[in-house]
Amino acid sequence: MKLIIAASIEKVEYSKTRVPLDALKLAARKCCDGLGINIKNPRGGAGTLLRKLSITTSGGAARALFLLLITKKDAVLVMIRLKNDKQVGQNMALVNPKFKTVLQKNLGLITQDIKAGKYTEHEIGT
Amino acid sequence: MSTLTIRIDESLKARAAKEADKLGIPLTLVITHSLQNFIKSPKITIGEPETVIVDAKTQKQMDTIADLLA
Repeated sequence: MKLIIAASIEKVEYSKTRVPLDALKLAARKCCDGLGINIKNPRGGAGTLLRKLSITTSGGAARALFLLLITKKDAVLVMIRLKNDKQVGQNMALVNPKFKTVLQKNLGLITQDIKAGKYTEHEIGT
Repeated sequence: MSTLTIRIDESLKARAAKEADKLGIPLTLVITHSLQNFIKSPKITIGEPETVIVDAKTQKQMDTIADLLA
C-alpha cells in the first residue's frame, strides 16, 4: 500500500499545513483499510473512489481527501485543508461549489504530474 | 510563574491527592509533570473515513489517474 503525493499537491496543499508525514500516512492507511472487501465505489464498477477524514495533531486540525485505487490499495492525496480554511471550509462535498472547483483543479494537476513522473511514493503498509 | 485554576471532579482530586501523598509528592508536581508530558508527546487523532459521492465527470478524472498509475 502506498501514499502518492503529486508535486503540485505537495506545493499547493500539503506544504501549507503542519500535518506530519507520519500522520498523513496513518490517515491514508486508515482510508485504504477494507478496500475491495468492505468498501466499494457507490457508483459501482469504477476502480477508484474518494474518501475524506479529519487529522488532528499538535499542529492543528485538518481534513484530508484521498483518491483511493481500489485494486492496488494505494492512496493519492488530493486535498488537505485546515479546519478553518476559508475556501473549502468544513464542507468537503460536491454540493459546495468551491470544493468542487478545487477538487477538479487538483485532479487535473495530479493527472499532469503523474504523466510527467512528478510525484513521490510512501509505503504505508501491506 | 503563573497560576492555573481548574474545575475537576471532587472524587478525582481526592484520589489523585491520595496517590500523590503515598509517593510523598505534591499534587502540583503531578499536574506540572502531566502538562510537560503533554507538550513533549506528539498527539495524532485520525477521524473515521467517509466516502465522498462524486459525479460522472469527476469519476472519469479519478479513473484516468488510476489508469496512469496502473
